[in-house]
Amino acid sequence: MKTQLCVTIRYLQPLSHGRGAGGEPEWPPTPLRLFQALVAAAAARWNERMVLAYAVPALRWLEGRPFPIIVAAPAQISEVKCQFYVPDNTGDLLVPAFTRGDLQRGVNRSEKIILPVHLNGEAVHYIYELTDGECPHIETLTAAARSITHLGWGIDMAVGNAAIMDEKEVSALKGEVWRPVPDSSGTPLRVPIQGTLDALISKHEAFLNRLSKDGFKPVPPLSTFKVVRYRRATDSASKPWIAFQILRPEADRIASFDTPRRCRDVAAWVRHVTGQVCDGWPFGSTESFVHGHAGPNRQLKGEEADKRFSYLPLPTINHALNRVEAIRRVLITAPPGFQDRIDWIRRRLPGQDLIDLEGEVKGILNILPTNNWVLEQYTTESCCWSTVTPVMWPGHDDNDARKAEKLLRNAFIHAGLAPEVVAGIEELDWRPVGFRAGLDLAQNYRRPENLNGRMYHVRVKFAHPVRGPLAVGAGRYRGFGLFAKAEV
Amino acid sequence: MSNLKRFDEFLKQDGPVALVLRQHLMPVEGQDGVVFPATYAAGGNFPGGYNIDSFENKTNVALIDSIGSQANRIEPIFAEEDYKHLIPQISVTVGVKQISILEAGHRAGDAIVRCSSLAPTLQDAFKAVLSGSAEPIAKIAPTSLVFGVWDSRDTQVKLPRVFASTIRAFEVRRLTRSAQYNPPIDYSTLEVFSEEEKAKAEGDTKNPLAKRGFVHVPAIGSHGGVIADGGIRRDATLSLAALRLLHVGNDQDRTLALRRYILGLSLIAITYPPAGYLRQGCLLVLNPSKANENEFVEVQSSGERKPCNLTHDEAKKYATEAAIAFGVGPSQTVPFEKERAKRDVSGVAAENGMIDGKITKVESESITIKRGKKDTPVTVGSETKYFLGDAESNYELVVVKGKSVEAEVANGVAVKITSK
Repeated sequence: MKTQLCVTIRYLQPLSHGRGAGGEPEWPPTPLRLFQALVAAAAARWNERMVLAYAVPALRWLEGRPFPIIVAAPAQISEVKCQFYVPDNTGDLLVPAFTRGDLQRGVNRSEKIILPVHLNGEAVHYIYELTDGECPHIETLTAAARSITHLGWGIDMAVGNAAIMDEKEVSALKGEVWRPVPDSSGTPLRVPIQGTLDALISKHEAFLNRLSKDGFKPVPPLSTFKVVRYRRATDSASKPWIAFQILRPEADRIASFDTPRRCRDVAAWVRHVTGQVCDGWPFGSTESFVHGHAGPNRQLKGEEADKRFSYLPLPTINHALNRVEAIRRVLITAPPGFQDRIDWIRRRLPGQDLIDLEGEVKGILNILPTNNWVLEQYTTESCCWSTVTPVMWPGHDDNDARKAEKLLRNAFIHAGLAPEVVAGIEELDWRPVGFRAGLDLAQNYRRPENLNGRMYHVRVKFAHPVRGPLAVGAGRYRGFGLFAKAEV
Repeated sequence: MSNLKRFDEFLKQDGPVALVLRQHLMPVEGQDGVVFPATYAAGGNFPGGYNIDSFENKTNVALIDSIGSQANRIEPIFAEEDYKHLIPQISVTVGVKQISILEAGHRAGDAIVRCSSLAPTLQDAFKAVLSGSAEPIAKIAPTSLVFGVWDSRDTQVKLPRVFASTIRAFEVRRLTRSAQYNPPIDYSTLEVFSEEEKAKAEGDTKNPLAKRGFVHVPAIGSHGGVIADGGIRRDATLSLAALRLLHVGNDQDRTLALRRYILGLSLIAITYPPAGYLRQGCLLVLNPSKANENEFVEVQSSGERKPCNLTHDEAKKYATEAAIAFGVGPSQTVPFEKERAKRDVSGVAAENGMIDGKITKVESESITIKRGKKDTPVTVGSETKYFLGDAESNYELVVVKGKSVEAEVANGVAVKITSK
């Protein structure tokens, strides 16, 4: 059975005050913070406060490990920024007052903003993969971990431990699981890399010598680390996207297309023009990623099926009238981790014509600012969502509501939501009639060729906020099953 | 029978990593009594007032007494009759004021202490920590090891706190209070001021007439305390892991004696009766109805918890024996040294080394040497020797305002000043 190194920190009070980059409350504590605590603990444990020696091989080994998985107690950031005043160490400046007999004077105080993270639990576990199943420094690391006294600020007293665990023990750990992710979504956390230990030793030396007869020498900040994004299973992965508004061929104003009749066409036009600008596409064949084909007349299947662009015509949501209207914008999304593909087409698509099957120009693509209100109805976070184009069932429900619900839940998972998020859905409704004003009956939407599943409008309420764009079902690459934020 | 080995289990590397105490408290008025938490000034987007955190599930937590505040309340007990034999009583005399090291905000690292005649000894003690021995600091300021210390003005040594305590209230309901001040007579009828001035001043707390109590002043909607429906709890922690990081070089016997000594002081701090007067409107006592929910446990590195049975009297007995075995440092009252402070304030630790530049100021016991934009005060005394080039000279010929000199300083005093 696969074994892993687990370094555990238990907070002795239900609070953590550590701050991340930018001064924002940090949770979970970063692997770099743990590493720094281990270095400090090792220096104190083996009484090497000036020159670290005993634990150096173990710490060098640890800094070279792959990024750990973190299992952390759920936590909530305080809403109250409380301002404390801490005394400056300037008691000597009071001497003139004391000498004059003014004994009531106190030292100046500095403002210190406290913004704790309240913990619903006590432990944070850092799980390091052991490539060959062995941890050659387990004794040293255990002793160092057990010598950790704080993690975060000086008031965040904690105790540590380290142990080798098998998968079963790891999966039994309580807390939210944070995994490193390759894309730009998630929480950025600092992690140690090769060289971090040496950088910390240099920084400590500089800190001890920052005051000398030559005056104050600022200590340079630590720079030998990497920022890695971590995400919980319940956090939605962020899909890279690019949005356009569609201008009329004359480029005099914005074009509009009736959603039920032209949604499939607009998606097809955008896919076509994307394929046309992909000369020199450096990411392999455009057949699968751009066109969604495995070959002539063959659909992508299996794990590769989702590695493709989605072409999502965006019906306008009229803010004032609170209703869904015609298509005037379009969104192209890629799966998480494929920002480079989106960047590539971002440079080539603006100004391109949308051409129908007869060769007639139907519109021109024009970059859409990301702060566009309509666009934000599709791309920001929300717990509640409802469709603006019907979801095409990815299978047969046999007119059985339970089967239909199962199909629909699977459709959310296929669209990239974590099973934990789907399992936590609080409300899920579907019906032929739309849940928003301005929508047509589901069966009135012209479906793309070769897709023949039943179509329903859907409304969903998740337990956790989910980030858009969200498109599910069999037509999710072609503008069907597209959701917009709904009122809670 | 000796008590000294009783807690040696706590000092073993594979022993428990912490002792945690949770005590349920209540206002002296009763469980539903109103208690006044600490108030904090406005700042950021915090409007000022009580520090109450609210959560999505409609619960909340109010801070009654912070870690720093609890430390400031507990540390001075070591100057009391029952405990003063456990630590050296160190005070700094400044004019007519005597400041105990227990009152100094930054303990052994506090500027007032570092600018006393104790400074060289303390500096050596902090340097000894860097070299691997906390014994010298324990001989001067053992509570700095219990409550933590940072020598921010000099060696940068940081020692983590072994003991921490916080008091919080849960599920609190805020109250407000209003008051009305009525002057004993209507001063305007005595023509002390006019009716117009009276009308203008009433209700305006910043108006001088209102400040001095000549007019009616209402005070509306100020902080009126909280009722803690979820109770009040003191969480105290003694970090045995931090304690085990204290060493006396490689001397295991002295290391054990030091750890026992600091453990004894820390056990006194954690078992010290918590109830008491924190501030106006906040007098807390133990909550007898929740006595069986109080918890005093040893926490293992695995997270496992085992009950810890220890009374304050037992802690005191142990601490006394441990202190005798360790050897409590001598108590001293030391003077504040103005010149040392001047040097410190100038941001220059002119304790040792060479300083060169022009003399910009000459005083009876010191000179100031300027190089670039930096002024460095240097103490001169009877042991200072003066040179003109290589030839020995005297004070009058060398110490001349505007002259370029080079001063060799040892322990803050110039031993040799050479005019270039």
